[in-house]
Amino acid sequence: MISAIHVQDVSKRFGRRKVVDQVTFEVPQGVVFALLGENGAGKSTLIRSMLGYHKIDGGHIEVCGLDPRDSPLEIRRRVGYVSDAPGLYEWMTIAQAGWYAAGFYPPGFLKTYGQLLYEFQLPPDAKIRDLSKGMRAKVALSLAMAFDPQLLILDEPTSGLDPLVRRSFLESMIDRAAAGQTVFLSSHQMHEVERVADWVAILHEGKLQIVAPLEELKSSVRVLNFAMRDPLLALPPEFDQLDIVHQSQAGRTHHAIVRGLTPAIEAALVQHVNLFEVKVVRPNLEELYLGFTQPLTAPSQLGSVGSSAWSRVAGDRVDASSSAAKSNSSEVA
Amino acid sequence: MDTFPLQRSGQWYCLLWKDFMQVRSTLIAVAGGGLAMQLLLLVAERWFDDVQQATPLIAYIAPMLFAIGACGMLVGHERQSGSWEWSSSLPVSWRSALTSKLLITLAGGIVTCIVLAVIPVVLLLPGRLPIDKISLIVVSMSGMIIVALLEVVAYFFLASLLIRETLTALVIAGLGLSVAQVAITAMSLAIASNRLVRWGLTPDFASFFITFVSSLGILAIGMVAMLIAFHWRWTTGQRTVFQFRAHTPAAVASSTAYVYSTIESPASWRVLIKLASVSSLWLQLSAAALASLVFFKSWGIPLEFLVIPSGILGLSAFQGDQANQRYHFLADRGVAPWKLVLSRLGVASAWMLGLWCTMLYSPLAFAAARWMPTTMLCCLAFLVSALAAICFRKPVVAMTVATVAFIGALMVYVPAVHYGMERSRQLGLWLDYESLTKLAQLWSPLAMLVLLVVIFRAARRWIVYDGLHLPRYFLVAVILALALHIVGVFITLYALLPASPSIAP
Repeated sequence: MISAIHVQDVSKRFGRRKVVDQVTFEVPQGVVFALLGENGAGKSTLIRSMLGYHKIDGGHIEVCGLDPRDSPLEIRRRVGYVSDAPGLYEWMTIAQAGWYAAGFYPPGFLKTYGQLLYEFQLPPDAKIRDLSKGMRAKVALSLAMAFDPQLLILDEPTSGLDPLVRRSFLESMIDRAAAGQTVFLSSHQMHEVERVADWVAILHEGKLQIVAPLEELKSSVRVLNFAMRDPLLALPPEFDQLDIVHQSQAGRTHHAIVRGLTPAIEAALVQHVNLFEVKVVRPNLEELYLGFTQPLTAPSQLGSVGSSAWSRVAGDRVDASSSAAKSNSSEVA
Repeated sequence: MDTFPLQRSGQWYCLLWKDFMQVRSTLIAVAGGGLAMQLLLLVAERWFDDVQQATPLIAYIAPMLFAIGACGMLVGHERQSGSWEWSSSLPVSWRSALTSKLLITLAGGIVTCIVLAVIPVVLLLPGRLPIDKISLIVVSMSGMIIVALLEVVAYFFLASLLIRETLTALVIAGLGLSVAQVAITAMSLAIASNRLVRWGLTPDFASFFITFVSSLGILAIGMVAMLIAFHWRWTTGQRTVFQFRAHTPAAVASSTAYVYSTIESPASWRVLIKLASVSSLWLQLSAAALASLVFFKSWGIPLEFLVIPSGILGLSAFQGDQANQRYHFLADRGVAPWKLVLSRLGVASAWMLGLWCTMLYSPLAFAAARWMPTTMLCCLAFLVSALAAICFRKPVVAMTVATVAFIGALMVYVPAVHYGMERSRQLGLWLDYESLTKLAQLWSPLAMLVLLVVIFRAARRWIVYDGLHLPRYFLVAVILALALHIVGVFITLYALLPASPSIAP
């Protein structure tokens, strides 16, 4: 079975700056795939490379089984794309924009477009220039979805949408994936992505940190919090058996995002004489994202920096670190 | 929701429709403005000798003006507004997109030419020239217009594809094409003219042949470069920037300049002047280069040509601010509109002043007698353009509107004032014709004052209230300035100057 997108060792430079560095991943068909990353991580560059806008410096890309460098037009016939700042013709009405786009796609575009306008509650005779940012985003989405594309690539699709429309839009993404279409989206809205994404990839400074099915990732990774009676003593040997994604320390308390936490290791840590208040939590996507994008810090090097990371990562456990954070802030003051 | 108000059409129909709608207003403005000018020239024949002969010139120049405007709208404006990005994300090949744009530009140019050729061909030539000579003129003019139109399209498309600011692109393209045309033709004439005459061609035909071949050469180079640039731009999208250093979006550049200047010194004036200096630097440099063409006396460019660079400098004061929404950045920081306007006008005026000071010490001193009218004309062009740049969001529209308004106002003003002077001479006023002309010019500062006041008034609306109803401001200001000017002249002529029976005829 051909994957919807196949990206192999892709690199892209702008001048001396390497924006995408040796990225490899595969997007199966019929899933909602979320690409996460901070501003400037290379998400948009990667998306534009997949559509054939950027000539990549190394590697290979296939979208719907086609090479974007050789068949950019064929890809655009199969892929619905909404950029992060969709620029529609301001003098057109919403209906005219649909009519114009319909000329380049097979029959049936206008019927679907009309239905989407109805769902989004967009007046067909309104001029684009008179629309709000959110309404423009809805028009751009309608135009991208109206020809029933095999693959939908959305760069920050929900920015500007109100909560109700955002919810219904995200639910429609799930329906599309269930119907066999593939949705590839980049976003900063972690809680929204978490609700709809089947797969996630995290891009950080142009490098791919992880790509995995979301459920698998969440079930394989755990947030581990504990306090040490004597912080000068070494961590228990069981701790070394874990695959540590992220670790931080604030005073006596430790916070770690780990993989490979078996019930046996967990039991050993709970019963360890130097540890108390050992808590193991299933992480949410935001914690995973922060864990994978923050630098891994060795316990011996941990200090006040770790405490800020702690408070950011474990939002529901701020109380535990607030005293340390306060002491740090008073030191700074 | 099973019905949709429109029926699906073919790809070519959609592309041509979209491109036509983009240039529709430019076509109406240029063809309508040209026609109005031709009609006014017919009327002006009463006071000026042989002005009707300028009507074929309008039919020749107007298609070029339309082509320049179309290039700005179809490439420059699409890129600036971001619609290029969406259009190129549709499954349209670059060949189809380019063909549609070229067809619309050329068809619009030809339609403009045909509309404006009606008056010279039907009304003027038949009485003076035999029909076979008219046919020859029409055929040769058509060939020249098509070659010139293609040249304009190639170079203006090329510049708009490479340079982000539409107006800057158009001015640089105009400058480059003029210099290339004149320089290459002059070189070719120097090299090949004598040889062709020796081969038996008449000097006139040799000169025509060399000019034509040079134009074809320039056209071929421009077309190839434009095709490469269009393919590159269409397949890489509007964001790819042809430059040597990292791309910095305009808003970021503005904010960086603002923050950087603020760190250096908190004085807002310094920040504003710095922003005004860098925001249209290339455009202002191009305008200055365009003005310097007047220095080359051998090219025979009249002093009045300085009106064009003056108008461009006026546009440069505020050009791009609306499209790039830079003013939002400043408005959000509570910058007083009058400060912004003063800094922008100040920098653009400094360029004007520099230009005039250079001219003063140039070989053009011979034209000192014409300084006053030309200066007045240039200042008016500068202010009309600056007001258009504030009032119209798209730089190309601002440029077209400023040109049409300025020329239209002149076409109303000149016959009106000459009619008044004719009447005053009949009444026996003691001033001669030239003195009356100078007296009429003294009212120009009043028109300038009106325009200046409206610029400051409009700026408040522009920066604080997001530019609502500004085109109305422009129209009212131009009509008011024109009316006050004419009324002022008439009052001087009829009320203030006493009649002298000794000089009266």
